[in-house]
Amino acid sequence: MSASVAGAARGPGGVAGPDAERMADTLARAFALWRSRNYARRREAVGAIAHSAGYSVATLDNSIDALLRPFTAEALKSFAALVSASGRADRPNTIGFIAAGNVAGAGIHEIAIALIAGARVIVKTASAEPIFFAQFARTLAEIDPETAARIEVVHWSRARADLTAALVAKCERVVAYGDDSTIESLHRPNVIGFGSRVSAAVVAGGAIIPSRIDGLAEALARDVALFEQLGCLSLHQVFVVGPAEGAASALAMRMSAALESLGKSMPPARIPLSDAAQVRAVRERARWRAIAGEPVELFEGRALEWTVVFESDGALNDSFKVSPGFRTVHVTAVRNLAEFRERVDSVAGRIEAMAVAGDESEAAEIRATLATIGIPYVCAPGEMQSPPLDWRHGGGAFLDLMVRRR
Amino acid sequence: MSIYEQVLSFIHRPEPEEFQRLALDVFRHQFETVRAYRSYCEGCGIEAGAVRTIDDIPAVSNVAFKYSDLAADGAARAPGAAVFLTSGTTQGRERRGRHIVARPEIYRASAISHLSKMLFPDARRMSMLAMHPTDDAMPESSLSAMITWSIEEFASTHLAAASRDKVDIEAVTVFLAEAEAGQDPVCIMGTTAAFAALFSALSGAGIRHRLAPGSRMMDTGGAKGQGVPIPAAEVIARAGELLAIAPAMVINEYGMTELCSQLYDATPFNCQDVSDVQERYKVPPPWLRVTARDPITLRPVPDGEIGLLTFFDLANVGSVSAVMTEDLGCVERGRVRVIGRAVGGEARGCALAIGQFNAAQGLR
Repeated sequence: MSASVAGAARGPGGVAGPDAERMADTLARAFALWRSRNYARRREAVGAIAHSAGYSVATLDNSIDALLRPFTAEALKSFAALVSASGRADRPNTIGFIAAGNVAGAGIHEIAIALIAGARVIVKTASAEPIFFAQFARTLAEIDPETAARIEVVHWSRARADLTAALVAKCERVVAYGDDSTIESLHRPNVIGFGSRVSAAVVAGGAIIPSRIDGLAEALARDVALFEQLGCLSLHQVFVVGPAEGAASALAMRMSAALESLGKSMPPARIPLSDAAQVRAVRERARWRAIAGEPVELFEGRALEWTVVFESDGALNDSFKVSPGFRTVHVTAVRNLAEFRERVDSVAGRIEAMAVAGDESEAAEIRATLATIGIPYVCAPGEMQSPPLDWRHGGGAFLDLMVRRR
Repeated sequence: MSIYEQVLSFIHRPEPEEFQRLALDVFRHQFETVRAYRSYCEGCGIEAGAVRTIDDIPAVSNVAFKYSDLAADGAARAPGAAVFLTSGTTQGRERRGRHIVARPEIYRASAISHLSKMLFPDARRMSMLAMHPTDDAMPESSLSAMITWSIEEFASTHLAAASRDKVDIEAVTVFLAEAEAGQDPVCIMGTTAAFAALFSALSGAGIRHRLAPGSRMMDTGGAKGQGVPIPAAEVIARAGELLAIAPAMVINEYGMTELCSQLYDATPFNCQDVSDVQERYKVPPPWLRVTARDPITLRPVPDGEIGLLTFFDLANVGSVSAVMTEDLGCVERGRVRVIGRAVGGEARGCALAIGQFNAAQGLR
């Protein structure tokens, strides 16, 4: 493995142009295979990851479907054109990726970008999830061995800090995914870190009218359930802005019904003990606040399979509600967008995505507010796990490095 | 005999075979008299008459004490009643927990009976140093009440060297110097954070005291109030290095405002069957039953398996006895290993975990 790391620095790369189109084509063919649930490599990967992570196959299949949806041939070709047009000659030739284990396939956007931009890529997988990228790289090799030679997937345990240090030293750039402490531990100037982030949704009254509320609840429930809510694009809190009395609570109730229903088509994961304890803590806090007459409603599945906590405005704790995951979501009514802004202040700079719903003018107003906060990915409910290829992940530092014209 | 007298009698003369019967009587009393608890039980679909064993008794989360008065109506205004508040340090902006103790003499009996076995098994009176305010300075603190009762019961002389805001390290060092000179054993009680501050001050000044053999200390509260928590093993090591207190005499307490009974480290000093001073298990008194519960089913897990530590404390007779904490731990042959607050998110990767968020917000 250390030989791979050493060899990476000598490999070809860095030249966009015709190569970009060829790589985009290879990737498009690979993604087309991977978008089919019957593709053998995907089936094998999904089965193994679901088994080791305690996910249901159905949940993981739906999650990977959502993740891969934007990687169409057209999107990849268009991105290749953008890379060629950007004319950057100073792109890194070798890029190391240190993957996180929480979400299978997390990092695929940046890996695809790096490959199209002509870089040689080394992906160091996480101990918790060493399968997805290894299988995907095999698919590339089967389609076009020559272009696929640009990607190498390696694996070693977290204890082998020497190999990680070698990767960081040998690659011109390293993209690291993981919690803040993992990224801080690398502390090298060539490291671009995608640290710990959260996502949320903002919903206005126009989206919770009778004809739309069930569809909205189902889409938000899906954003909660995919990847068991463990990724940076996972929905933690839904803000309902200035609704008619009872409408926000009704949305929470419909979301709980949608989560209950999703439990049948996407059975929930096996929850690790410490996470289960945290979900339990969320529930008990909400339960006793409700018993005490606070404006809180708790909706809960029979075991811990899903939890929705609704709070109307005026509740005591006004900071953002970070969820322990595993289909645990807060729905919070706020009077207006100013109040919404106050509540997300506690996670300023850590929000990756916001789903937006409302009538046309409400959505425009919400998007304008989000633009002032600086949210990398704004989307419709149900689309949170499907950011486009040019998503400004983590603020866009990596994207700019690869395609922005100087 | 009233239910209160029955519990008091049990604390003075425990009869293990009577525990379950008394626990069920205590539960029925609480179901009848504590309105919020009855609502909770009914919300769980449980009627008092249907509960046959102690494991069927619904446990309230310890956070319930933040939001509801878990005591009989008017109990807080009863003559002699005490109201203790949680420190409020773990969830900064939230309200503080409130434990109404209608009959503090039961709390006192529970605390003193178990302390006498676990910290004073040699039945010695000695000079005591309190590095936490006594109850005249901090009447809302259950730890202050306990320390005050300990002084009344076990101290020959004492120094209370802490105010609400800080430990008077200068007064502490004078006390320690005099104790060293006098060569009589002493007992020091305080929060782990207070001991961490003392150790830091002594190290910084290059001072080491040689307290007399038989000296002992009780620390409690763990990481609470500490920027960089000092692990239990380090408390033991530093107590030996800086105060010459033997490892077996360094005894950590696990207690909480919401419980009138406490658990203490088993060491060779207080338990004949213990020989290892580093591997720590905690011992509850006979009137406190501890289980580890599955956070999903809320049923007790088998001996040795980890779950949420849940207590049935007879001494809580005037409030709610069945209390589930947010701490993980396991129970083996009646002794308890506390693992601590669930942090979750081992595989959270790029997603923000609650623990990280709380740390960033300064909530812990």
